[in-house]
Amino acid sequence: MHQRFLAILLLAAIGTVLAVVAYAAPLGNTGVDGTIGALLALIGAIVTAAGTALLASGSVPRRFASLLIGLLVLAAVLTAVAGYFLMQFGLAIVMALTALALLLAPFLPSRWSSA
Amino acid sequence: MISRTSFAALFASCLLAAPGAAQAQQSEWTSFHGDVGSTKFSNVQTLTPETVGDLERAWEYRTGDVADGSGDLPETVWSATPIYANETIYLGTPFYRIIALDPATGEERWTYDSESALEALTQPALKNRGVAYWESGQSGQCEKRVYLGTMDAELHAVDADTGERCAAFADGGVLNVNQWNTVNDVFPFSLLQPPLVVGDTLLLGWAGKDWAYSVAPPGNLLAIDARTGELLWETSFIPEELVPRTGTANIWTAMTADPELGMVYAPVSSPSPNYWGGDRTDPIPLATSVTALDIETGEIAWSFQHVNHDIWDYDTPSAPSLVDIERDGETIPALVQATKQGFLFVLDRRTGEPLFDIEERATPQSTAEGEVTAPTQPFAMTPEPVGNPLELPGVWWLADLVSFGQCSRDREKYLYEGIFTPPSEQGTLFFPGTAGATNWGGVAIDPRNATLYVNASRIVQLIRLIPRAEYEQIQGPEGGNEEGYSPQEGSPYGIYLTDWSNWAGMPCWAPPFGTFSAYNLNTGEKLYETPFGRAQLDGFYGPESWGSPTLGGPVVTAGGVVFLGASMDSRVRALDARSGAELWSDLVEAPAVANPAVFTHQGVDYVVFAVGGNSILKPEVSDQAVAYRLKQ
Repeated sequence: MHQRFLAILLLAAIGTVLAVVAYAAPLGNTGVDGTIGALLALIGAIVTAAGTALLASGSVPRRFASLLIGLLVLAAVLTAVAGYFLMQFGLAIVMALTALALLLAPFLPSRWSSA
Repeated sequence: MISRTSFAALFASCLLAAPGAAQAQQSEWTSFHGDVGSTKFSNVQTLTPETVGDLERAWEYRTGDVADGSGDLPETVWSATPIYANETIYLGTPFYRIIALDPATGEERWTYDSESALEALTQPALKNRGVAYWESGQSGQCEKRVYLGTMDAELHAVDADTGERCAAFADGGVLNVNQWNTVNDVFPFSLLQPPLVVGDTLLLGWAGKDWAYSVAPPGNLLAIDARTGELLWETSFIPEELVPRTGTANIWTAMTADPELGMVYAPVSSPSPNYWGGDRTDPIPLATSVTALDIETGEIAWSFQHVNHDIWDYDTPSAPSLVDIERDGETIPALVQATKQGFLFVLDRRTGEPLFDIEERATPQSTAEGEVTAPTQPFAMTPEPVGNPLELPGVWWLADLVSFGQCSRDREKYLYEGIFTPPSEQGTLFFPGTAGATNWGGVAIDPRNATLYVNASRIVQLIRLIPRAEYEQIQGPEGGNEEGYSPQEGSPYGIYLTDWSNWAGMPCWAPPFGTFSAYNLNTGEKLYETPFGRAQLDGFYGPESWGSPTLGGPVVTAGGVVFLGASMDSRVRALDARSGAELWSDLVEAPAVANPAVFTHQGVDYVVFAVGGNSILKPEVSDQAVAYRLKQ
């Protein structure tokens, strides 16, 4: 288990919850519930969380890890941008932090990288 | 944007306004536009720029009468401004029910079901714009009544206290208005707009089936006895000799009256078919006009035609608003007619004479078969037109980029020679589009300083005349909500109408898409113009500077606040009347496409929005009514 990705996974999971709230509106009208935009944000958050979970599990071969991280940064950034234009600012902030953390993850000290 | 001098002038005029004048105004909301003069001014005192930040929801009510069109029922369009009378809120619904609510709590007092068939007989949706209220001044059953019209032309009268039918009205409380639909009756009348109540008279227009037929029922205004349902008089707007070849010029929207002058002011719509006039080239002077009639007799006092030989469906979309204008020390009783084409016509309401210059300008000519375009059209340049309708918005770079230049190619491909460019086989860019720069919400007027407030849309559409033989081959779905294919049966052309957009649904024209403006009607000066609302596509919001197309209209209060829903972003807002700046907003379930009702109940000021949505703005409908008041 790669601990440094656990914190990022937590962020992405929070982002996913916020995206679910935006799309499905279990807590009431969000102004974007049921829209294609909110669905895209939800998909982006889920993809980011799922990919981060893969990284955290350590099951991704080292040679693919950088590529996967790059794709996840892209997904998180796009989701953050979507969140901003959906006026779901919590989602935007969380996904922006997720992207930043993914970007920095390879540079974290190695003692953070193994359980 | 507001200029410094304009701001100062407006601020000063607000300060100088006599409070006594304001207190003379009512703070009930007894009709669609609050009063018979359609000022949309409310004398509530506590809602000011300083206090509206403390607004909170007092209650929320769901009518249950909503459909998005995906099931068995047609979609609903609920544009019903609630009315407040008899210490009660009355709602009409698109399922043709009346609901009476406690204004303080939103609790249901009674409901009445007209049991009307829920079929979109004329319009593409189940529509309702509310109910009307009448009281005799005496006590007893049915001395206070609420009236509701239905899609199939029944006018129901019920007791305002109990919701029981008033048996003495017409046939057991139900008047079959379609009994007077005897000429060119290719469709039934639809009573979607509540009647205007003046004294003991109900003034009633009707809606028909737009864009479908060349020869259709000729439009008329019906005056009905509020007690008995008896027809008092009827005035038609199509010359008798043209009735075999055309029709409509009906009144589908709200009307205005000046009881002191004894006049009702009718916003008359366009003749049929809407986008080709080759069979009706003779003058139809009352079509697409504001026409004044004697309330007692129906005799026409004067008429002002604001589109000559209308082939754009620029029908008169809203009730004119009454205002008294100060000029050279004289007070002139006037009215303002807002129009789809964006002109604000300010007329002496005694005579119909324009109070600002109107130019007859040459306009583009049609090449369609049989068409004889009017050589000129009236341009009212003071006050300045709303939504800048004389200049087609440029191609929007973002939509053009996304579509790899589709928008630019369209601009070259389609015809546009200025406002009033006729529909064509080639395809015409149509601006303002058929929903208009303004629509049924009209304008609001602060009578203390003759200041006008108005929201405007900037929508460019594409309209194409399709030769009959080609149209008959088209298998596409017919008619949508103000878009799609429509046959114009009996004419050489069907039509196709749609928003001018790229493959992704993005508008091809540059923002702003909607604005909010204020005008000094004494001078005609525009005080400010600012983008209003936020556009929304697939959930994504545009920036504030883009504004939003709007449906519905404003209310201005004595405290200097304008309340307005109307925007795509499903927010209801309070604006500072001095600048148009947003002071407060709340997210509701769908665009609030009716003017709100603003009134005082038991010493507390309320703002009530009916939140119905309209697929012209975005595919979102609702059945929510929301009331706001200051935190207690």
